[in-house]
Amino acid sequence: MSADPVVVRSLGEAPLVFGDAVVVICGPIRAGNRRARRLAVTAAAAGCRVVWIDAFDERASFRGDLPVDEGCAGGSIEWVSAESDLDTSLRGGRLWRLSDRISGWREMPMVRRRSVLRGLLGGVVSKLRRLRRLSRGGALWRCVRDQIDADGGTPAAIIHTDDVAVTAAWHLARRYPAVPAANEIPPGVLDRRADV
Amino acid sequence: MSGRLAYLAFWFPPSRASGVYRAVETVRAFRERGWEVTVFTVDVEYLTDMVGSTDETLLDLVPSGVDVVRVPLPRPAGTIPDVRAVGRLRATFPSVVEKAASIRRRFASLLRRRQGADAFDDPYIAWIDPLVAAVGEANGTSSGPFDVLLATGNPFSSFQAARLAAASLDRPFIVDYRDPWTIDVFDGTRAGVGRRAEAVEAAIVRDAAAVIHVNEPIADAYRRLYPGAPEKHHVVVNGFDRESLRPLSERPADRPIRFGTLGTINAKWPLEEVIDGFEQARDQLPAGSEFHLAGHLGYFDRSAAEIEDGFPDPSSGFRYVGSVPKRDVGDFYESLDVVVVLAPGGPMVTSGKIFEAAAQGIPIVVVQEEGGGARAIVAGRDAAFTAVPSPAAVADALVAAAAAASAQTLDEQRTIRADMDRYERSRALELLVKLSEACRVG
Repeated sequence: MSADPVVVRSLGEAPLVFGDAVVVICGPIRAGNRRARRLAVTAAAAGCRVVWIDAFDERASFRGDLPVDEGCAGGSIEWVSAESDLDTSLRGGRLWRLSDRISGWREMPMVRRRSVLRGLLGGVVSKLRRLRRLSRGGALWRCVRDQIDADGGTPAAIIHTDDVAVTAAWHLARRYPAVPAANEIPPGVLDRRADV
Repeated sequence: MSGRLAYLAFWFPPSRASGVYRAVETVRAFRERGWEVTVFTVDVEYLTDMVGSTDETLLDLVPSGVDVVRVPLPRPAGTIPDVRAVGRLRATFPSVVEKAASIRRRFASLLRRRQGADAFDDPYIAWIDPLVAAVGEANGTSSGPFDVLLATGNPFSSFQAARLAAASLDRPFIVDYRDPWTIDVFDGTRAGVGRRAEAVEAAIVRDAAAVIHVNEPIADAYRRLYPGAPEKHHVVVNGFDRESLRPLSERPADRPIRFGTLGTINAKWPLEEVIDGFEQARDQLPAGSEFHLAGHLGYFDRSAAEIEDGFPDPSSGFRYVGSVPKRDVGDFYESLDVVVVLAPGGPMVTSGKIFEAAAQGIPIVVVQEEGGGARAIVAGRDAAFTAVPSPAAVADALVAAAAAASAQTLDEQRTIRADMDRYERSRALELLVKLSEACRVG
């Protein structure tokens, strides 16, 4: 058992080392976040190491609800915040403000003007995409994919807790074809851990 | 006389929804009279994941010897045993595919509604079939068949499940309305829940052995709505639990007045008027007087932030002290000099907390519109003050109640408590047990 059973960090801070952890992924949906909390605590209480990748918006006062005080009983939870990465990924980088973009329009060469217009169009499309939440699943997967330590072992299970997290779980499951991947704790995962 | 009861209660511990205490005490009332009770309630995962409002300590309140059958409420996503089985389209655009599936489900539901006379609009309608099946399954166990089915609503899908299960088992059923269904509790008009829901309710009231309401105005409204069998409608008030009473004691004379209110705080409460009223009254109250607000913020965890935003700065003497576990309710009331009850609506809105608050014996202020149901409970009680939801009226009532608190004697508290004893919950629930026993005989 580690000295600190609950570790909190952001996605970009360090590579994702799965080891034999139970990987729990939740998208930016409250119900999924609650499921993730329940499943992570259950798995940790059964002695598992849990890597909980969380894309839920922490502005929704979530941080205070981290199960720091709940018993991990020999297990541990590494809570990895993916929310800010997801947000950045969705926006495709920081957008300039409109006033910044068009300042000095008259003096701009045509090439620059075209670039600004493309940027404006891209900004609109990006906003629409964000509005329609079409790409949240893919964006979360890209954030996760870029952080996985290839030599970091094979997870014991991959669990997604809402629809947005399906994409990341689906790709991850294809990367580790022998690992059980479901939206609940797959049968036998906790028993196996208890036997160790 | 005893029997075997199937109790259909969607909200049951560890849920902390508003109807949970009535449900638990109903179970206790039956157990104390020797009934075997099987509670059919929703799965815990629904409460923790979808609703997000649970209180594990409430499980301790469930009487021993009660069987609890948790019937999962079918959810759209369902179980995905292997995510690899999900198609590439859904894996790539999960939100879009789920949206399309939601539209398809809605369309299918509309089709079913056109085809099925018993289908009606209720978010919990998917619970009916598994619930009826679970009741049927439990009926065939070694404990013998159920004698009576009792359903509490909302959700009113429980009523329909009780009706269907009772029909298939050839057993009587009783429905316990914690709130009216097709009647608007605030103004007494039709609630606009749709013709199908109204038809289903009419069938439920027609077939039920007894129909229980929480106050006379609601029972009267139902008698008028379904004049066929007025004797079927009964009132079982919410009442109070004796463990929630403070010990009787005289307040120290030199202490500033502490007002307080306890309950699940929701957006319908006239909270803003009470906050402003307390602010206005402060000049006329002893220095250091405070207003303590206690309870969960809304029935769902998503409501909390919005409600808390409206709270004033603690320097105003107004404090939110958080939720109070059931076992500590008496202690909270002991810390008060005046209890304040906030209630919206008119005659049909009694507010579950009014009985507990009124039975404490200390002065009480009820803030509700003229003719409100909560006001009616304290009408004629000593040291009871009422105010319409306006800051000036609230301020006057608070000042008067503070004066009454300073002058009140221990004997006066005893007299009030003796007078309010008639509202003790176990007494109120006796009628429900008797009705069930009568059904069984019939």
